[in-house]
Amino acid sequence: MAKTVPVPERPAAIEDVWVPSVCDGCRSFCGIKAHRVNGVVVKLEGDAGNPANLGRMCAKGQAALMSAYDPSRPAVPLKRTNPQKGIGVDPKWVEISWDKALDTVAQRLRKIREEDSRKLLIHSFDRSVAKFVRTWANAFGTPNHHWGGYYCGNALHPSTYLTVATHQQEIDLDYCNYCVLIGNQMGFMAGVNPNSLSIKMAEARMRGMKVVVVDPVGTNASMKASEWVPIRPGTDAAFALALVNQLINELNLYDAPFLRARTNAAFLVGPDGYYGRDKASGKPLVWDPQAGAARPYDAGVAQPALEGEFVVDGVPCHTAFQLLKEHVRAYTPERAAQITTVPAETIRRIAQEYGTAACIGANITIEGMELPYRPAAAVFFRGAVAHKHGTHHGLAIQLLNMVVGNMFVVGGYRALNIVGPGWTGAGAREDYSGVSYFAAVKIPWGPGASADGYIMPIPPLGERQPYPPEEVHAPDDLGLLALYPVATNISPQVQLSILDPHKFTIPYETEMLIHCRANHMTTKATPELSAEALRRIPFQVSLGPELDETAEFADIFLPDRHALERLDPFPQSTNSNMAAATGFWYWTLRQPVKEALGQTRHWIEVLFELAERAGFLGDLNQVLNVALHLSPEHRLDLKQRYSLEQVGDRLAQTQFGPGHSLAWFKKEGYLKFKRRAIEAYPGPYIQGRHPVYFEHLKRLGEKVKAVADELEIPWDVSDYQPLPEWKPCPDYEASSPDYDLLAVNYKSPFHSLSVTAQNPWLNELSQHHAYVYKVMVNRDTAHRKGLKDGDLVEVESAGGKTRARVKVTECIHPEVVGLAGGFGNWARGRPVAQGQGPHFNSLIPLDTKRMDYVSTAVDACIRVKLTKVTP
Amino acid sequence: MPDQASTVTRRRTPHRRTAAGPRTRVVYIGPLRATVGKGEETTALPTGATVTDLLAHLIETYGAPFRDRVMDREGQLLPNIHLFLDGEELGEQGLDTPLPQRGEMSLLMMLHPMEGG
Ligand code: SF4
Repeated sequence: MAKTVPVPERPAAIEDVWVPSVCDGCRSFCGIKAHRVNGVVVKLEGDAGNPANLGRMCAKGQAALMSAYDPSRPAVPLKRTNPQKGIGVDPKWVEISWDKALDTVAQRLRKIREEDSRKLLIHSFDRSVAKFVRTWANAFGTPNHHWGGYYCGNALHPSTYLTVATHQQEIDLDYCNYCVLIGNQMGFMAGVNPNSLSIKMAEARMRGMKVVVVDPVGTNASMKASEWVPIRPGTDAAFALALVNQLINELNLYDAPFLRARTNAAFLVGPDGYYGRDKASGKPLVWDPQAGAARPYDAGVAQPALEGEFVVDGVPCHTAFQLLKEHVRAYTPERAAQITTVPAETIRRIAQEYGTAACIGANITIEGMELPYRPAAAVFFRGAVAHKHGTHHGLAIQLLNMVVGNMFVVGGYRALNIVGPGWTGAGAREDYSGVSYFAAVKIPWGPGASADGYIMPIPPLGERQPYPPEEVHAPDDLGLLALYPVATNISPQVQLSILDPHKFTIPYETEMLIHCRANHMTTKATPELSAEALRRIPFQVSLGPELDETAEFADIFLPDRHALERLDPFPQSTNSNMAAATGFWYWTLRQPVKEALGQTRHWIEVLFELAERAGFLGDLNQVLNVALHLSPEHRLDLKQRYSLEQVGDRLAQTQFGPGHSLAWFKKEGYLKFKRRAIEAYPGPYIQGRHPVYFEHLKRLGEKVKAVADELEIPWDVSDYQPLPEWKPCPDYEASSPDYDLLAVNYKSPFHSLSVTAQNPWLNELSQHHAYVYKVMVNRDTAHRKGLKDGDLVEVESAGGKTRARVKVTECIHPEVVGLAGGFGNWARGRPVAQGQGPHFNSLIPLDTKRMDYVSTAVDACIRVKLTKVTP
Repeated sequence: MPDQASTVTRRRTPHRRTAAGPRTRVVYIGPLRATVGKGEETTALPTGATVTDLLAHLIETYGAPFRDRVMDREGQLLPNIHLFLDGEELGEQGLDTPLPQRGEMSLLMMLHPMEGG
């Protein structure tokens, strides 16, 4: 007879609640509900009503529970006692009081601000509070507030800003029938709103959408795609231009009305590569076949010539489209096949399928509106553009979208939130159910048009001057932003400038670094150079929820709260998430769902206090008033210090009216309202043209060159070209027979940047996963080299080396080895992550020869050799 | 490119030079602090001087690096420059506002957002 074991009775739950909040596992900021029992969070679930994720959560989000209760989290401020700094060097921390720590930091800040505020550098990738970090840097007076990693490949955003005036992109999976993913895994737990888009992707595949993944690695997306096209790394532009060539020169599958009306394809270009311009207005000319004369592009010419040569004032001019046609003729399928290794017949077939699927000329009626229907699109991400000529790859792929006229129309390509609920364009609604934001802040949320007719970024992107700028001036920031006028990330240059400020005519040396939630040491190329850059900075204060590799260089460490302990007002940004695929506009609040650990404080609250201690609180509040567009009754008093919660409340009431205070958001979690068709498909109604010919880039390049020459900084502007080209990466050809493989990096769906490596659940998942901590080697290559599954190899490049066990697979291009994510951590404060998996960035040298002078992209394909080693 | 300082100069208000003109405490917020090398200063301008006159005076004093950070080539204030006169924000129309006898003018330069990764 079985013995009955007495089970101790559980104490009755005094508290058993579900609290709405927002996940911080990646930039998607999904809505969550935290189940808290007697003060302990026992479960996280997706918030079913939140459009960001439709009730779903990914593994990273679920596992956040473990990082919140991670016993290695620092709970008190720390001071370094070891003056030596270096990779693996123990800082020999000792505890210090908050008061003492803040006093030390504030004294330094005060001194630097009096001498030269630019000597302060801030380095954070905490996207939830990016607006507050930038505001603080602004008030302090330093332009040096960005030294992030190279996560998106850097060339992604300039390519989208230049063509569609926003930051991120998506495909209309509700209607798309032919989707080409180039170097990315959108819809497969990657990209914007991955939970929502993955659902949409699955539904689209079920209804028959074809998915073509072009990638050297057989990724998660490739495995589920209709077709995986393995491509040689760094050749995506050649592939895209070959498709464009097929579409516009061979198959006649292009959208002529769209190109005439919505792009600059009909603009006349002279033999010098610049537009022919109207003498009176200076505007670019188009050819009016009816009148047999050139007219300004905005003079109402009904059917400007799209092709041909015309003589204007005795000067022979071609239309931009004619030049594009001639330009892409060089990209025959056969030539592209040689460059990319994608067979010529595959290129021909994909062009035919894509062009046919685009249904050029078709319309569809949605919500009573007749809208263009182009259910074929291509998107790209880091894999395609993290290259020496990254901007060219991005722009070439964008041509693929533009020629079929799929911009912001049903089934096609759309960039994130080009119009918003306050948009005043045709068909925009005026009433937003009492939501007063757009009325209050008077932001016309829609794209503008430059004098030359180009689409211009939307105001919510910030106080940015016209993009790209017309003029280039001598820079004084570490990132030399003025010399990279279209870049949105200047991090690699910041590092080069710290190492050698005189070379770049920087008139000061960096004296202090404030670092939080951006692991510079692991997310940038060449850790030794990163370490040297950190050593050059006399004083470093790190804030964060863990003692990562970068914090190990800090002089003072201040413990930040975990996301589940933080209050972050409206963490999402409209240019990085809130995809139209969610079907809604929504604003969410992250609120604490558990008690904060020890003495941890929200780092933005710490910055606010430092502003007061260092004597610039008034400036901070003034800048916050402007940056947050606070309405007069909610403006901050310049003499008072506010908590983040108080600022958030004023922001909430400014944006959404008195009925939507922060207290309302704490209870409800989020505010949402449905998008209308016009807001999901604004293509035919938006102002501003998408350029297929980048005349402004050519012009800008000359201005950049003039300034660089004046400063005597060697600068290569050869990539500032009006038409994208394929140019080989520095490592396209092997310089030595030993270095016969190209290493590339790819994303695992259950890791985010380098952050999640310390999570025990995700670490366990990775240890048992076939690929994630391994180096992927093609079966034939492995056979040739005598390698088998599980062999330990050293992967060595000209930049460095890392080790991993081999995974023999057919899911990788034969010339390539693949390493996932950002692993190989070494920090003492990250015991779970320590020594797990390879560190890809150790292979990549930071060197201007491997950088894109347009976007600052650092080339992430590199020649390596594999050597079998014994453990 | 038109000379921006002279564009501002052309808009200047004719005024009488007297010793009793407006004295303005000018406060620099944001990266302009580093451009001019100080956080604040006091300027004395002739009677009848306006905000435009003050800007023209600062452009004359600090030259191209200052000018290029506050004006476009047509002499218009750049969109990331905000002017506050005695705490009140001035729009583009406010440039003709006469300076008070004793006032404070804040010049706030907003940083360009760096969004990419
Ligand atoms: S997708 Fe990102 S935000 Fe959403 S649950 Fe996963 S980690 Fe969290």
